[in-house]
Order: sequence, then C-alpha cells, then structure tokens
Amino acid sequence: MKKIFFLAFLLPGTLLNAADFNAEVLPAAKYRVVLTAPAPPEWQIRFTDADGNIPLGGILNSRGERYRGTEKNTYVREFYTPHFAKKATLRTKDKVENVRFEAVGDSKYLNLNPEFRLGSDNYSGYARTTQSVIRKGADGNYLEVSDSRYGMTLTDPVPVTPGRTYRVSLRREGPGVPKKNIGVYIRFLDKTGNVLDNQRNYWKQSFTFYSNWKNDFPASKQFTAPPSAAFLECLLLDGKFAAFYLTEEKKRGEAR
Amino acid sequence: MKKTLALLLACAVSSACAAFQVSSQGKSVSEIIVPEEPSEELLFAARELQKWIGRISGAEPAVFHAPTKQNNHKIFLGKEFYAPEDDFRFIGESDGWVVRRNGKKLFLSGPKDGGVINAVFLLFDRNTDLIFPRPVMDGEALFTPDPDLTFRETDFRGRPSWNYREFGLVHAHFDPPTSLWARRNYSNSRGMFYHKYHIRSTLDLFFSGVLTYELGRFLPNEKYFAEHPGYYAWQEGKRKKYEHYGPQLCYTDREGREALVREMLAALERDLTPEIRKIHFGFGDTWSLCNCPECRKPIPLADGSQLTPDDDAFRSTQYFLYLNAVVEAMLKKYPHLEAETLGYLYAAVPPRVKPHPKLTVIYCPYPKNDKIPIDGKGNEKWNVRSRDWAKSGARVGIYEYWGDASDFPRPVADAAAENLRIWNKLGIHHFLSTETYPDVRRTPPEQDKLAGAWDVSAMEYWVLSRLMLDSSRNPSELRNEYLKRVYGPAASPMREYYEAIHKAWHADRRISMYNDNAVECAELYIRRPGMEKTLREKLAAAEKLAGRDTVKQLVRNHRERFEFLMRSAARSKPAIFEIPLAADAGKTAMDFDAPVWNSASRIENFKITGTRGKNAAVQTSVFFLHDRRNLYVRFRCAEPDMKHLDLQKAPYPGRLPPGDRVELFLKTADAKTYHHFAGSPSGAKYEAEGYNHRWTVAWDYATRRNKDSWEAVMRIPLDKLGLRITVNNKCRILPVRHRVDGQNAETSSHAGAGPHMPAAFPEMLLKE
Repeated sequence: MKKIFFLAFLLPGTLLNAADFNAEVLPAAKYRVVLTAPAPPEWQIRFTDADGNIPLGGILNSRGERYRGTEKNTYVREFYTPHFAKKATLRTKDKVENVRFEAVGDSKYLNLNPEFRLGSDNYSGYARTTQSVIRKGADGNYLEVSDSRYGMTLTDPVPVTPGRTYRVSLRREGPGVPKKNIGVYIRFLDKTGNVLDNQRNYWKQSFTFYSNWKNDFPASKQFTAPPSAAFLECLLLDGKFAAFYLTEEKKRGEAR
Repeated sequence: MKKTLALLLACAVSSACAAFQVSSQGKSVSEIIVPEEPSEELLFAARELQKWIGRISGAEPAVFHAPTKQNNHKIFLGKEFYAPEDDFRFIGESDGWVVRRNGKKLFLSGPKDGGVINAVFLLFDRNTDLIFPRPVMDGEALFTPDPDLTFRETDFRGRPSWNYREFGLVHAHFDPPTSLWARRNYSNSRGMFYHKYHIRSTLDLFFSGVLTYELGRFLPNEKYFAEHPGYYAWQEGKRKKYEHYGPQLCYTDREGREALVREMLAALERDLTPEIRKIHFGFGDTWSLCNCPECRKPIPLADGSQLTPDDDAFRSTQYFLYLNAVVEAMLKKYPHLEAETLGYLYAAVPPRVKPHPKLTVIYCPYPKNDKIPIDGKGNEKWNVRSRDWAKSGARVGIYEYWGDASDFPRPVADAAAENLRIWNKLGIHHFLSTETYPDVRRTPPEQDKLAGAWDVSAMEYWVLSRLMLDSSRNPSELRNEYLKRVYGPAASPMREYYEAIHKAWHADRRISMYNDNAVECAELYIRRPGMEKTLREKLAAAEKLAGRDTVKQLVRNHRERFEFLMRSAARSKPAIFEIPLAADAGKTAMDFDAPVWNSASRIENFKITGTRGKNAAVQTSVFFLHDRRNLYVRFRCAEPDMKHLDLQKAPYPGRLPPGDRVELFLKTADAKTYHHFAGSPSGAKYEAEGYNHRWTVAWDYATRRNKDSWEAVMRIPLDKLGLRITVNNKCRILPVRHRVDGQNAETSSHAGAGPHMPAAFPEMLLKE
C-alpha cells in the first residue's frame, strides 16, 4: 500500500475449467481478479497463510452476475487480501479464461471502487447490498440505496491502523432536494471481524449528508480507529451515491 | 445412512475414551473449522467458541475454513460437516442441536445454524462454569480459569421447548449488550421494535426475516381522511383520524380495507427482500375502536348464529375477519409469505372465526397476576383463552411481561415455568417473548430502573432464559445454579436473601402485575414483614465473602439498589388508590343516580391543605371510575349553609371560579406538566395546563343541589391528556375542594396534599 505495487499474472488464451489458478500476494493489499467467460461464472478466491492453511475470512466467493466488467464477457472483482494472505488461489467449476490477478495501483482512496467506475453491474467494494442498485447516470455510474425498510449497503471492510484518523465523504447523484438525508454509519472491526465497541452509541459514529446540501457539497467527517481496530466498514442508507470516499488523514509533517 | 451409522457407532465408542482436550498448559491443542461460506450464525458460533475457550484456558484456538494437517483436536461447526439423519429428524424445524465426538473430531451441528450457537453455549454449560451474569459487566462473563480446558460431555442432542425465544426490549428498543447477552443465553429473536439502521449495526444474526407494519399507518390521515373519512373510526358522533394510541380504523368499511390492501401491496413491493418470510401486522395500542352502526351490528357466524356486540369475542372476531381478508390479499400476490399479529387487548380473546391458516397469533395474556400460573384463581380467563387459542387452528405464540417491574426482584419464574409447561402441553411452542429492560444505566437512581432491574433481577432473567430453552426445568434448581456460578463463596447469603424475598412475595395475597411499583414492593415485601435489617446484613455479608472484584461489584450494585428502594419506601405512602374499570360508564356516569356509581372507589376525610392532617370543616366524598378513555369523578360536598352558594359571584369565562368549587389535578406518568379542572356549584367550568388557563380541552361537567349538599360529576378525556392506559395505567390525581364561608375560605384535599404541587399528587391506578 505504501508504494505503487504492480503484479500481473496473465494466462492469455488459457481456458480453465474446474481448475485452480495461484498467485503470490501481499497481505492487506488491494488486488483485482480479471477473467473472461462465455457465461457468468462463479468462483472462489482462497487465501492461504504461510503454512498453507485457510484461516477464517480466507475465502472470497463471487457470482459473475455481480462482477461484470465493462467489456463483453469480462468479469472483474477488486478486493483486499486478508492480513494473513501469502497466496491466492482462484477456484472455479465454470469455464473461464484469461485469468489475471493484478495489484491495484495506489490511490488516495482507501475504499474499493469509490466512483463505481468498474461498471454498472459491478459491486466490487459493496458485496453486501439490500435493495441497492448501481445504475448508469449522466456523468457516470452511481449507487442507489433504496429508502425502503431494509434498503442498505455495507461496504467491504478496509484495513485501518489503530490511532490513525480516517475521513468519510461523498458526492450525491442528481440535482434537487431528495426526500431523505443520506446516512453513513461507521464501524470498526477487529482482526477476526468482530465489531468493536458495543454499538450502543452507533448513531454517534455516523455522517449525515443532508438532503438540502448541494450534491457536491464538500462535507466530510473524521473518525479515529480505536485500539485493536483492524478494519473499517460503512453502512450506507437512503440515497444516491455518485461517489463514496474513505481517505486516511495524514499526520502533521507527513508527506501528502 | 451407512456412513451416519458408522459415525454414530464411532461416537458411542469414543465417548468412552479420553476427554476432548482443547488446551494444555495454556496452549491451544485444538482448532475450529467452519464451512467455506459460513452463515452469520456460524461465524458468531465460531467466534464465541474461540473467544471463551481463549478466555478460560489462556489460549485461543484458530479458526479455519478447512482442517489443517496438524495432529490436534478439531471442532467442526455446521451441518456441512455433520448431518445425522436421526438427530436432525428429532430436532425437526427448531434450532435444536447435536454434539457428537469421533476421536479427535468434535462435531457441533443442527439443521439450522442457530442450533450450532446453542450447541456452543451448551458445551460450555455442561463442561465449565462459564456464566454471563448480566449484559453490562466488566469482562462480560465469570468462569474458573483452566489452562488444561477439557470437554468431557461431548455426546448430546436436544431441541428447544420454544422455537423462537425472545427478550424483547422495552423503554429502549435497541441495546446491543442486552441483545448479545440474550443470544449467549439461547434467545434467537430480537423483538419487533427496531429501525433499519439497527439491523446491520450489530448482531446481524438476530435479523429474523420479519417485516413489521402497523395497519393504521397504511392509510395516512393526510392522504385519506379528508376525502374518505369512512375509513376511520366513528366515535362520539364523528369520524376521527387514526392514532397509534387513539382512534383506530373502521374494521367494517370495505372500501377502506381495499385501500389498505392497495397500500400494503405497494409497501411490500418496495420493502420485500428475499430474506423476508413473514409480515407482522400490528394495530394501535388502544381500545379506541370504531362505533359506527356497521361496527356495532351483530356478526353472522358460520353456524347461523349471531355474535352480538356485548359478547367478549365480538371485537376480536371483527378484527380477525378484517385481517383474514388482508392476509388473503397479500398471499394472492406473495404466496410464499406468512403473516403474524398480536392477540392483544381486544384481540386477545379468541375469535369466533378461524384465523387465516397462514397467520401466527402472538397471544398476550395481559394483565394478570404473576404470582400464580394461568390456571390459578383470578387468572382463569387467561387459561381459558389459552386453550381456545390452542384449538383455534392458528399457529400461536406467547408475548409475556415477566421482565416488567423487574426493578424489584419479583420471583416470577415459578409461575412462568408452570405457564410454559401448560402452553407446551396445549401444543403452543412456536414463539415466546418476554418484555425485558435493557441493562442501561441512568442517573439519578429514581430514573435507573433499567440497569436497576439487572442489579436485582439478573438471576431471574437468567432463569427465564433456561426455561425458554427447556420449560421442564425447575426454577429453584436454576436459581441455585446461578448463585453458585456467579457468587461462589458468597452464594449462601445471596441465596438466603433471595429466598426471604421469595417467601414474603408469595406469602402476601396481593396480586403482582407487570406494572408493580418497585418502591411499593419494597414496602410490602421487605419493610412490612420486618426484613430490611436482615436482608441488608445478608448483602453486606455477601460482599465480604465475594472473592473476585467483579462479583463484589455485582453485590455492590445490588446493595445500592436495595438501599435506594428502602430509602424511597420509607418516604412514600405506598398503598395505591385503585380506580375501578366500568367499561360502560360512558352511557350513564353523568347521571348522579346511575347504578354504575355503586362500583366506584371512594375517598373521604379531606384534610385542610398545608396543615399536616387537620380535618376539613365539612365532609367531602369523592367517587372515581374510568372506562379506559375517560376518568369519571363525582364529588359530594356536604354544605350546612346551602344559601351562601347563591350569593357567590359568577366567574369570568375561562377563569377559576372564585367561590366554592371542586377541583381535580391530574398528572400522567410521562407528562412534563399537569392539568387542572375545576367547577362551581352553578356549573361554571375551568380547565388549565398548570396555570395556563388558555389551554383547553373538551370535557364534561354536571352539578346538582340537594338539601344539605351539592354534587358535581366530571368526565375527563384521558386520551386527550396523553394517558395511554395500555402503556401505563398509573397517574397522579388530586381531588380538592375550595369552600368560602363568609370571610373565611378553606381548601381541603385528599391527604391534605397541596394544589399545583404535582409531586404531592397521590398516585392512583386505573384498574384493568
């Protein structure tokens, strides 16, 4: 993460079927897997530790329908590798080809797919959605989270460091004054995915983008990772997100 | 099948072998394995197993998605690894559990992944002394550290007495620590009161796939009332807007029902997710039903008879006829869904029509005496209704109130256990919820009844959690187990303390209900039997004997609550004045001679205010009744000189009558202010909010003169003052008489309490 890191493993023209594809990876780093397939495939990425075991959180399951690329028959999923990962193995029972693991280039945004550029049928960074859809807008894709009873999207966990401060901001899609404010609720997780704190005051850990603000109003809010925090994830509610950003605040004197 | 048999045989053999060791000298010798795509339940089970093995032994086992090659003990979670046909058939559709061992492998499984959570905590229950005494506590749990932690009981299965078990939070509907405590103690449902941001804020595993709607909210007043008043309740000569605590919908208006169905289907279209399996239809927390001619018409029944409006089941039947049609319309479009509603208030009476077969009715046997079971004297109607519900053909659940009033250690589990067994015998075992105070600390102590409840009643909550899982268990044995595990060397004085209260509570013939006042209970069951000193000593001894700091703190919290209750009881006048219910009072109570007044409760012997007990010069009697929506107060003012009343000035409109008058001060429990009603012998009226005479509300007042007295009747609309009898049927009421005799004026009142001093208004109970 600290430096730009590029890895590309390419098997051009190789048709994989019920097979594994392996790559060495760095822990807690951003990667993407790219592949092509005649029909939406299902695949697993299995992350093994130094001993070759798969600790909890070491399996990432994907359905092709949720991770279409911008080009025909292409599928893309961006992800963070687990903190223990040494090796990633792509496993599928479907016919896939041109499988590629790539480290994602450095970005000032910590979260995956902040501007939904991976496509309107690509939920990288937003695996857990209920009544939420990525749509094509006039100026790019946006995520619409329904204001229905259970409409919500939970971002994929982003690795954080205890004591460091993180900033949440967003751009709203579309002009006018929507009916509801956009709500963003923050929670920090420990290494094994347990929510830290008892969440009784969850409403304090939130950022509201008020409906009467202009869609590009430069509002943001900072949150500091508590001791034992390993990940941060955000619950997005009630609105259209043209972009959702998580950045790390630099300490005084630290290079930007 | 062969494989399963072989495994069972292996398990049987292995159970005779050495115990299953998970740690040795503080080092892990085991690992946990979960499936490749574990559910939220399995993740929770794995993390809790890992955490508590780690805390007890000092070494957390690692969790993997596939077994490692290490030659260690392996604990497999989930049916992906072990799905024995026979055990699963036994468990059925519940979240039952099966724990089996095969050599170095231990399987925790169940047809539902929630059963694995139960298996994890049962494994600890049977093999360690781990206990979660209350939701908020340093370290969360108590246990004896064991660096060589070993599971010896590793071959058992079971199914719960109740499929869904819930500690439904009241007063604060969202409290993750209390919900987590409940989950660790075998509860698997989180209650119907929560907002969308609660769902994923924590404890996703509680999300039970139910959508809750309130029927009246489908027809917003602002959208429909002006053009379609017929959709709403007709009361006192007009249609009234829908309110949760006020007028309901008209249950016989077909057009209104069709509009509601349209709105309901639109809401489902918007809100349904694939996980939603059931729709809960709620109704307002009130008896304020429609009285239009159609709603008062007898209901023709299938057997050719007519159900008349005075029948106990009339309103319930009307409601279920309405709801059945709504459910049918829902199923037409969404056949995979089920429906649910409460058998509460008027709907608690089993209807004379069959509830829709896809409808679950959560029956609320409320209010009743919690000291005795439903087949005990005084509670009989709840038993009869339980039987009728069991026969109704609906799937029936139970909504209980055991956690209410737990800020005094009411030993409710004895009658609760008997009720649970009665219901189970009747075939009711689908859902059981009890209202529960969350463990939220508030200051000052007067407002700390939530955590205050856990200070004194944590044991009873824990006992209830076990009874929900297995209703055949004995509450006394469970209490002993709790005391032993939590208090260790201090268990003996704590047991004596609780047993003394248990004995005094049951010895007193008074009924105990969901709305008992803790201070009154302290007076009745501790101070009056003369146990205050002894119990104080027991708690002091327990604190001395308690070994661990956490346990000392538990006892200290208990002592603080105890002292608060004793202090408050010493200061208060605990005997609460009860106002009887006369459901039909509205028809005749404004008539002084109506027989309904024979059932009224009465206050005599007014004292002059501010004199600490000096009797008033002349006698005043006050009679009270209520019909849930109105309070009826009748004054009889003895007057030796009736003529002087004629000499008094007529009051200015809207101002307090200056001469003789009767007054009523009323403060509802949660109100920030109080209300003041007054009337003169000539019939002049006055009402105010505190001193604000510009405040007004419609109320009735009538007077008459007798030979040597004058009388007045007031009808005060409780619902308009914010008193929701279904939520809290206590309020502070002070009747006052002002008498002018020549140049002298005298103000007297009940107990001599001062007007406009709401804290001094006596508390009264509007009986159900």
